Amino acid sequence: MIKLTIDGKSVEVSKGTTVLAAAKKLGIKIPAVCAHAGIDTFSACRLCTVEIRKKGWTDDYSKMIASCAFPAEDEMQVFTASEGVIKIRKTLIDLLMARCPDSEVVKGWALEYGLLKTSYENRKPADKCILCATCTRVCEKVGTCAISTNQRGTTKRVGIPFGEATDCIGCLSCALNCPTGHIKYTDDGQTRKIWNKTFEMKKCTECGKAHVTVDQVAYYVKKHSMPEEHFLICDDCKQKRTADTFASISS
Amino acid sequence: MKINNQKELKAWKSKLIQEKPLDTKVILVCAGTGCIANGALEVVKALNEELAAKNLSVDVKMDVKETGCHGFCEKGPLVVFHPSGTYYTKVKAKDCAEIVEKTVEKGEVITRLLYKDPNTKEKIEKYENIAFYSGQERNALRNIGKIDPEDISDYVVHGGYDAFSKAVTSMSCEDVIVEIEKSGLRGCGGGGFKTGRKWRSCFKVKGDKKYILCNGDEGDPGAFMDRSIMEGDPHVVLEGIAIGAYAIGANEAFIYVREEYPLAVKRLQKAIKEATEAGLLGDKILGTDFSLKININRGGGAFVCGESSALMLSIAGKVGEPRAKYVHSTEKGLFDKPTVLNNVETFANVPLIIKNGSDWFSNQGTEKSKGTKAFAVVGKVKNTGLVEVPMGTTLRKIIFDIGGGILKNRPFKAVQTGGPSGGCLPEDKLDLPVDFDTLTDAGSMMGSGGMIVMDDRTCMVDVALYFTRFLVGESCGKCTPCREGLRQLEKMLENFTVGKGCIEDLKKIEELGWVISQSSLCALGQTAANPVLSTLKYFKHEYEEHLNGRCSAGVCKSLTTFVIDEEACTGCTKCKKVCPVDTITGEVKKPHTIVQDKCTTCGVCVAACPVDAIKVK
Amino acid sequence: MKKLLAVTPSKCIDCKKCQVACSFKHHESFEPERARIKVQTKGEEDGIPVVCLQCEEAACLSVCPTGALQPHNAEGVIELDEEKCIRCRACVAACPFGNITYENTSNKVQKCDLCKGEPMCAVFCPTGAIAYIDVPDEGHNV
Repeated sequence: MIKLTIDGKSVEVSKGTTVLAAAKKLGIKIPAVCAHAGIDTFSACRLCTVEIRKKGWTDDYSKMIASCAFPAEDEMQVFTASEGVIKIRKTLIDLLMARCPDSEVVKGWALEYGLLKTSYENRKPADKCILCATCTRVCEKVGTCAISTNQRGTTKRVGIPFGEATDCIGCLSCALNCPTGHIKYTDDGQTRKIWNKTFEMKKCTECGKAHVTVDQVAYYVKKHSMPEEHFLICDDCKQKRTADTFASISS
Repeated sequence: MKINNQKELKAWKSKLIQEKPLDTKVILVCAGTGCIANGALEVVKALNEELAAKNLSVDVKMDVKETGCHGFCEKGPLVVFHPSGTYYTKVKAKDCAEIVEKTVEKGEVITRLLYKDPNTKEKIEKYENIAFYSGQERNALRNIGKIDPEDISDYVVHGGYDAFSKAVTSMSCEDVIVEIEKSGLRGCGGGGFKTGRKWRSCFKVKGDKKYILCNGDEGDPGAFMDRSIMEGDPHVVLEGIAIGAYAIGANEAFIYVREEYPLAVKRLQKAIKEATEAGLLGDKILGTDFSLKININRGGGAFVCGESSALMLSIAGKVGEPRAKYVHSTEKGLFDKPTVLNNVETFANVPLIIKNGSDWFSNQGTEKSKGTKAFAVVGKVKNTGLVEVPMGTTLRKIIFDIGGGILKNRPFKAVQTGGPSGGCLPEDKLDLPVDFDTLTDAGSMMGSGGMIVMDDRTCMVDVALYFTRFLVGESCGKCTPCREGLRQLEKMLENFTVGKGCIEDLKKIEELGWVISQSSLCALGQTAANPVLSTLKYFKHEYEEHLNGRCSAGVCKSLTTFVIDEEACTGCTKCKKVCPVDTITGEVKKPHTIVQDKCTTCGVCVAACPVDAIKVK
Repeated sequence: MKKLLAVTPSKCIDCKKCQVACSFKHHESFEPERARIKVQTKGEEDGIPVVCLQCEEAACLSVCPTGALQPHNAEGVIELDEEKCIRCRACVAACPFGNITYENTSNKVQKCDLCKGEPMCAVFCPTGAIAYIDVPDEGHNV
C-alpha cells in the first residue's frame, strides 16, 4: 500500500492508483474533463494539473503533474489548490473560453474561478468542442472506431474519415458523453441522424417504438454472436413479456 | 559474401586493406545533400571523364570517391585529396580538367581553389590547417567525408563492425551496458538522458519481445547532424543499433527517418541490404544466437513525431500524439513492448565506446556531459556547416574560431540553440560552455545541436514569432495549453511586429509562457515558450522599442524606416542600382537619399551598402 | 447466509410502493417511473413486479465494453459502476428481460443493485410480494 498526503490529509491507496483517484478517495474533487473511468486515460485537458513534492525533495522544489495519469507514490505531498495550480487552471479555462466562446459549460467553469470573459482572442469560427476526445475514445470502446480526430494543432477536430461515417452505428454514445453538448444528433422516432448519416430505426415488434438502429442490431449480432431476437423488442415490452412469463409459470 | 564468425570478419578486413591500403591515393568529393544541390555530382562526372581520358600511370592515377557531408557546407562543392589533404572549395565541373592536369598528374596545387581564411586572408592548402576543422574533434562524424557511404567494405576497412563483433562474440549484455554506463554517454537528440541507464532499465524488464528504435526524425529547423550521419555513414548507425539491440535483448529495430530525407532512406536501405548479405544482420549473426532485423519507417511530415511516444504510435500506424510518460517506454513502448529509443548521433557514438573503451569517451567533455557533440552552425556566420567539438567548448569558440565569426563582420547579437525548444542567448553569454546543463540554466538548451547565429539585423521579436509560429503549426493539438496557448502567444507576438502590441502583453506573455511550460503534456509544449521567454529575458528592450513603433533591426516592415546617413554615404550608387522599386536618388560621389513614399523596406539596399551607411531611423 | 430477492406475484396488489421506494432511494424523489423495479399491471389490484434477475450467465455482462458491469459480488449482484459506464446501451439492447434500462432524466444506465444489501422494495412491500430472504435449501418455487 502507498501512503500520501493530499492538501494535508493522509490517504492510503494500492500501487498504480492515480493521484486523481487517491484524491477522490479523500473526497477531494479535482477537475478532470477528459478523464473517464471507462476509457483509456488521455491526459489532454490538463485541468487536473496539481502540484507535487516527492520524498527527498527540498522545500523549494515542486513539480506540476497531470493527476489523472500520475501514479501515487509513497510519502508524496499533493497540493490541489496551490497558487500555481489555480493560476494554471484559470489560464486553461480562459483559453478554452476563447476557443469555445458560446459554450455555457465552459462559461460555468470560468465562473467558478472568477472569470467572466476571456482575456484572449476568440476563435473564429467557433464551436463547442474542447477536444477532450471523450467521444472518439468512447467510440473506440464500443468497438466501431467510427470517429477520430483529424489534422493537428489548432485545426484539429473530431470528424469522420473522408467525410463518410461508414462505421458509425448510430449508438449516440459519443453525443451522450460529450461534456459540452457539441455533438448534435436528431432522433425523431422514425430516423436518427448523426455525423451526417441517417440511420434507419428498428421498430419494436410489439409497440412500434424505434429503439435501436438497424446498424446497431447488425453490429451487436456480429460482435457478440447474440440472437437477433434480443434486439427486436424495446426494453419496456421485454419487461411486459417477462411479467407474462412469470404469470404463466406461477399459474 | 557471408561472414560466419569473427575470424572471417578479421580476414575480410585484412584482405581489403591488402588490396587497397588506407593511404591509397583517392579524390574525395563531398556528395552530401548540400553539395549535391550545388553541383557535386557534375563535378564527380567531370573528374571521372577527365581521368578516363588521360590514361594515367598506376602510381599517379586516382579514383574518385563520393562521400558524405564533409561539414563545410558554406564552401561546397568540396574536393579533398587523400592522403595529401589538399582541399579545394567551390569546385565547378569546368575546374576538373585543370585539377586532373595539375594536381593529379603533377602534384601541383591550384591556389585559386584553395580555402581563404576570412580573417587572416591567407590561402590554406591542407584541410587540417583550416580553423573550421582544426578546432573540431570528430567522433560521431569520424568517417563522414572519408568513406563511400554506399560501400560496406569501405566502412569495414576503416574499422567498421569491429566493435559489434567484439560485443556479440566476446561480451555479455551486462558488459556492454556497463561500458555505456561508465562512458557517461547521454542522449544526443536533446533530452540528454543517460543512455546506459535507459538500456539497463529495458534490459531488466522481462519480455519475449523487445524493440530498439532509432530516432532519425530531426525536426529542428536548421539542424542536419543526423541527416549527415545517416547519409554519410549509414553503417555506423546500424552498428550502434545492433550493439544496443544485443545489450537489451531486442531482435527487431526500426529506424524512423523523417519524410524529407529521401537520400538518408536510400543509403540506409542499401546499408541494411549489404549488412544482411554479409551476415552482419539477420539470423544467428557471426555464429552466435543473436538475430536482428532492422526496418525503416518513414515519417509523414510531423515534427511532433520526433517525440518518443508519438514516434512509437506513428510506427504502429496510429495518430502521432504523445502520451503521458509516467509509464516508461522501456517497460511499455512500441506495441506495448519494452522499447529503447535513441537518437542517430547517440548510436553513432556507441561503436567507438565499445571499441576504445568507456574511459576514452569519458575523458572527453565535462564532468556531467561526456564525449563530443555535433552542431549545425548556421545563420549569419562565415563558416556555415557541420562541426563536432568536445562537450564544454564555449559558444565563442564554436562561433568565432571554428565558425569564423559573423558574416561581413557585422556585430553579433544572439545565438539560438536547441531549435524550437531552445532559446536565444546574448553576447555576454558567449563564454558559456556548451553542454547538456549549462545552457539550460541560462534559459536556453543545447538540444539536438542546432545553432543559429544572429547579427544586428535580426529582430528578436520576429525570431520569437518565427519559432512560435513553427510550433503552432507542428503542435499535435492534443493538450489545451500547447494547442490554445501557443496560438494566443502567436497572436500577441504578431501584434508586436505590426505595432499593435501593448505593454500589458509583456506580462501576459510571460504568465502564459509559464502556464504552457508547466502544464503541457510533452516536451514540445513544455519547451515551446523558451524562444519567446528567452528573448523577453535578454532582449526586452526590443519588445519595448516595438511598442514605441520602431524595429531597430529593420525587419518588421511597418515599424521600419530606412534612412541613409549622409555623412557616412560615399555616393557609390550601389544601393540605387539594387533598389527594386527605384526609390533611391543621388548622384555619383554625392550622398544618396531614400524617397520614402515608394520604399517597401525590403532591406536590399542595406545589404548592398559597403560602408553600412543605411540605418533604421 | 446468502440471500436473494424473492418475488411472489400472487401476493402483489399493484400498489407500486416498491417503485416509489426505489426511485426515492436512488433518485431522491418520488418518481415511480424512474424506478429500477417495474410492476406490470395484470388486473385490478393484481400486478407482477419485474426486476433484474442477476442472471448467472448475464447477457448484459457479456456485452459491456468497459467492464462497468461487474461479475457477481458477495451479495450475488451484478453491479454497475456508473463511472465506467459509457452509456452505449448495448446492455439495454441485450438483456432479454428488459431489466437494465436507460433512465432519461439522469441520462444514465441503471439496474437493480439490491440497494447494497437492504433492498427498499422489499422493505416497503406491504404484502411480502417482494421479500429479501435467505436462500432456501431446495425446491424453491417462484
